[in-house]
Amino acid sequence: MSQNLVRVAVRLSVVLMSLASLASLHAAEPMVSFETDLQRARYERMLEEYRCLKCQNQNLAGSNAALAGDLRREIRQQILAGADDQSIDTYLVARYGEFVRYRPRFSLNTLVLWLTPAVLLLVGLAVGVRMARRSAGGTQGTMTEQSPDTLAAARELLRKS
Amino acid sequence: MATRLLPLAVFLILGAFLFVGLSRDPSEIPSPLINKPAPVFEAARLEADAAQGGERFDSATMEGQIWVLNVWASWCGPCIAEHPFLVEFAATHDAIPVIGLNYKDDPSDASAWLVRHGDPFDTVISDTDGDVGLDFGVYGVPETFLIDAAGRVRYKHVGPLDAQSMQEKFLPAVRTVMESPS
Repeated sequence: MSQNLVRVAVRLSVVLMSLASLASLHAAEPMVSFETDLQRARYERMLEEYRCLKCQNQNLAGSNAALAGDLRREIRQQILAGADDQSIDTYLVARYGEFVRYRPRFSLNTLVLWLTPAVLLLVGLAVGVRMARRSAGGTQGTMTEQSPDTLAAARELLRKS
Repeated sequence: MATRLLPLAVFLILGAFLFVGLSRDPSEIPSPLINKPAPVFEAARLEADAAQGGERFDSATMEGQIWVLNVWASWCGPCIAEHPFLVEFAATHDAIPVIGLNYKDDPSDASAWLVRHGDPFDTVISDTDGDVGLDFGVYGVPETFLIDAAGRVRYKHVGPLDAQSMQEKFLPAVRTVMESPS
């Protein structure tokens, strides 16, 4: 009886999970046609690379906003018209600014954005190395600094216990 | 001594960045169009107007004068809040035409909305597909563009204009453009 219940529950969750994954595959317009597979691949890659400005933390592929739909349509039309990635990128950035790209270009404006992680990593490594050195040196120091009398007293203590 | 102060320095720098970050509005994205030529477009008017050149509007005809492009829609709630300020602006600035861009809207809804709330626009462009909006980089309605006599976008306001943004941002921008119109 309880085994049956478990089985039903498992099946139900499998169905629900597959439904959920289906729903997230395409937020909108499931029927997008292309002439070649290459065009489709480019389209799908570009939807991942550009931001929906209405809902700022989603890319064009994942957003349901009307604006994202318009931009998807525009990208598709330009791909079908034979535009290359560079010109589509220029088109989007000219209208919506650098912010539309999820992978900002390396420029003077984005210098801090690009370099901060590397700088922080180096600082972290430097601090780590220094701490390791200091603690290694520290223990040696305390051992050698003991006077013969103290060491003898310590040995005596250990022997007694 | 210097190493003791290092964490404090890091804290202060981080704190300064976070403080500046907090006081900014993340939904306000600087427009790449500022000081660049406004997109030239040709589109249908919401209502044909024989005096202004019939059924279609051509933005090239605006050259030589300062004008305002206000992006709005009848489905847009904040547009209602903004509307009285636009009406007031249009009434007090005769020399500056205010053009409405009716963005992704149903034309009959848009006309009804204007009858109900008042019509400050010299003409209204019907952008049902959002194509003109796309060219202007519109991402949040309402948006207001200030375009100078040379056809360049000089100022852009995202979101509804209210008493404060009118006084502190938009009207000063208008004054600046009137002093150097191209």
